[in-house]
Amino acid sequence: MKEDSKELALKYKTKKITEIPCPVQICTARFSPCGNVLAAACFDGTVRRWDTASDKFAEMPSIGGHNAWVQSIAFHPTNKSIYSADSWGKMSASNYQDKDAKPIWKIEKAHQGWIRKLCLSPDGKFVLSCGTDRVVKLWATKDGSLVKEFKEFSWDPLALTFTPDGNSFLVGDLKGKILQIDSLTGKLIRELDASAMYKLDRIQDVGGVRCFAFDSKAEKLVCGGTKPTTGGFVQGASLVLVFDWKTGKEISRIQAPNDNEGYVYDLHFVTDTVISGVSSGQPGNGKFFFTLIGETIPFINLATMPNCHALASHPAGKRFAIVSTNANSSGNGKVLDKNKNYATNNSPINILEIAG
Amino acid sequence: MKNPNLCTPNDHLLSRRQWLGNAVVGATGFLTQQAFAEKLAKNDKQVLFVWLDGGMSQLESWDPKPNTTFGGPFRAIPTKVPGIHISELLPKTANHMDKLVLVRSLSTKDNSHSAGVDRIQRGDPKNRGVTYPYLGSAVSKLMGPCSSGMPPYVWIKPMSGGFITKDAGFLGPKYGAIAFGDGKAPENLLRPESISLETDLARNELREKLDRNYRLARRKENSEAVTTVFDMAAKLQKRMDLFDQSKMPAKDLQRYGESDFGRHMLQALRMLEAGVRFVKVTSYGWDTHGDNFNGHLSLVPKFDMAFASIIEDLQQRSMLDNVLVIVLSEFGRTPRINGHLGRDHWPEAWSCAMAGCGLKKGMVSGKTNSLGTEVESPPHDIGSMFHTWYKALGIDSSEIEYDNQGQPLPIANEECKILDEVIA
Repeated sequence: MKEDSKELALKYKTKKITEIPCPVQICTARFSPCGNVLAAACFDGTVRRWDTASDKFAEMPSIGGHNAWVQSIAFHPTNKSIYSADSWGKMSASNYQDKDAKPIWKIEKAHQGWIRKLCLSPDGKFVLSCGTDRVVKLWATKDGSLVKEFKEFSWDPLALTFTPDGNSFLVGDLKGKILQIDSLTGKLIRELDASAMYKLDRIQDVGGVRCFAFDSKAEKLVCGGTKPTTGGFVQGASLVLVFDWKTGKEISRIQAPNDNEGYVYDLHFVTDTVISGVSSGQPGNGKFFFTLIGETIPFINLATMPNCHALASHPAGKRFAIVSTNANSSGNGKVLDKNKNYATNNSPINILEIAG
Repeated sequence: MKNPNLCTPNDHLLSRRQWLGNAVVGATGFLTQQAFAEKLAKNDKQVLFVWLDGGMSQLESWDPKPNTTFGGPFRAIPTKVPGIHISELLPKTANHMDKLVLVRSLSTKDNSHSAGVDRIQRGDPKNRGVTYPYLGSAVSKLMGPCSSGMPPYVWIKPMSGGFITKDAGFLGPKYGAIAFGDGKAPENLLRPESISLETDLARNELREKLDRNYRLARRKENSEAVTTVFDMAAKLQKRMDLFDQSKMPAKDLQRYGESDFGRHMLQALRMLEAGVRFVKVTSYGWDTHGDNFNGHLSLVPKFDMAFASIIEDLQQRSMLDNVLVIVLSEFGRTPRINGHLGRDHWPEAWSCAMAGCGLKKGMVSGKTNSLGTEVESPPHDIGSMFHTWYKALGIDSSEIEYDNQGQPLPIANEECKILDEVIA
């Protein structure tokens, strides 16, 4: 490890503030822009909330009304709304500060099937969604009216984000393509190559682009996924690709040394040169990492939290919520807990803070 | 030649009689079997056995539990049969539910692949110190080739092919599977142009003579197997069209799906049309310990296309009454979702799908609880399914037994009962 990496490791060393228990598994979690609410999209059709204005992390009433898995959530930058989408195609908007989280609007069939991602336009006027119906839809945040549909994607879109200027958006698909599309015309602007994140293993399509992040200057785009080696178990080495946004060329990549580490599910720019992320692979494997752009090895690679599926970054910049999974989550046959129950797994949320 | 290490009829006569409930059957068994053998020789029933290796998730296929703790992200959809719902990943199959039987009460014993594959495909018989045959070999032995004379047991699988004797167990290698790797004809099947027909005939005559001499002083199983393979090769040489993938109509390839599995299922239809008794099609890669939901989202629709198409085609060709279709894995997958978003091995409560050959149509047998963690109705081990499949094929498993070098053996686990309610 280089000397500057050692310095960075000290600078970004984290301490654990607390662990918030959650009795069900979580797809993703995000802090509100004001930093006072942490929301988690759960397997039981709820969006759970915690008051993060203080370090008590008191749980607030859940937002209900969804089916199956709430897969994605996104906060409005200013108006106290949270948008949530589930695996049965429903999307809704709620006031996240309300005790009862009153619904603002809901759309029962926003998509035909599993909504994979939501994201907000930088100005907060639009929310974008994508689903297994291979359609991307643009909605007005104020009333949920459909503004535009972008159809005929060849492969399932898995990752979605607006570009920083808000004029276009990126779709990352199962095949490892990143498509930049004009939000106004729907025209394909360009295609970036993330095909390292895809493999056809026997008859299974494995991998795909799972997440995006831009730096604050919009000079670099990072995307997360895995470099798959097999289907079934889904062995794959966690992979982050870094692109120069202007040229669209890959400038570096961070690839885990073994193929147990699985997918990078969330990425976040801590500064314009340092990114943090989480990964989840074979049961028990998971990392919370910090890496310097341009380097191939993270300077912090915490393996204490198994199977991390989400990383939420507090707007103040020093605190993170890492959604992990309980230990011993796997097992063939009817593995019972100490009370002889066949219990569901769960997702502890680890609150960590940069202590350096 | 009798094997002195094997148990004798007396060693298990009592339990067999208890099972049969008729003390007279033991004495008349031989005559009865002869009559059955003659009857079966005229029986041209066939089997399509679809093996989804690794374990298809029952929750993402035949027994969805949407909106429950372990239900996963997918919905259930209605089928052509009112009241029966299956996973949304099977929309084409849902349109053929009126021809299918789902058994949702499978509860088997082994949660490892190494033991589970064998246990399920051999029907999990009681341990008598012998290796039972896989279903394909068993049907091959019990029913023989169809009147077409085509090889009785073929296996269409990814990767390599060959003559797979392991499947035959104590029946001897003759009853093994001839495997077509990636649906291709066995290597060197055709006579090389450099060898004339006359030379080839002379060589075969010499081989047969040598085989006869070899057989005189040794156990016959191996030499029989060699002869069988040559006979099979001779049959297949006349049906090279079955392997010509360029003759698969583009429209059919599109319907069955352009995956390897789709192509293999289309070839299975050809094999059934050609009169193969038992066709096994294997798809590997269903062991979704990780990313189960994206895995099934990729895998199940490919199965759905091919399976719905072959059911439709068998029906259109009026073959479904004669072809028993079985879709099976070594187990299902755990309701609990692990940290890698996978499901692990689950023999406790899972499902299989069947169609044709005298089975009822458009029904579900058995029931799991609301979370899919228990079978609520009477559970059925794989032995019950073997009895049921034999019944559908016209084989009376309460009467017919194997003769393993003088050792009589039941053809299916005598502690399991036939699943009567699925027989029409």
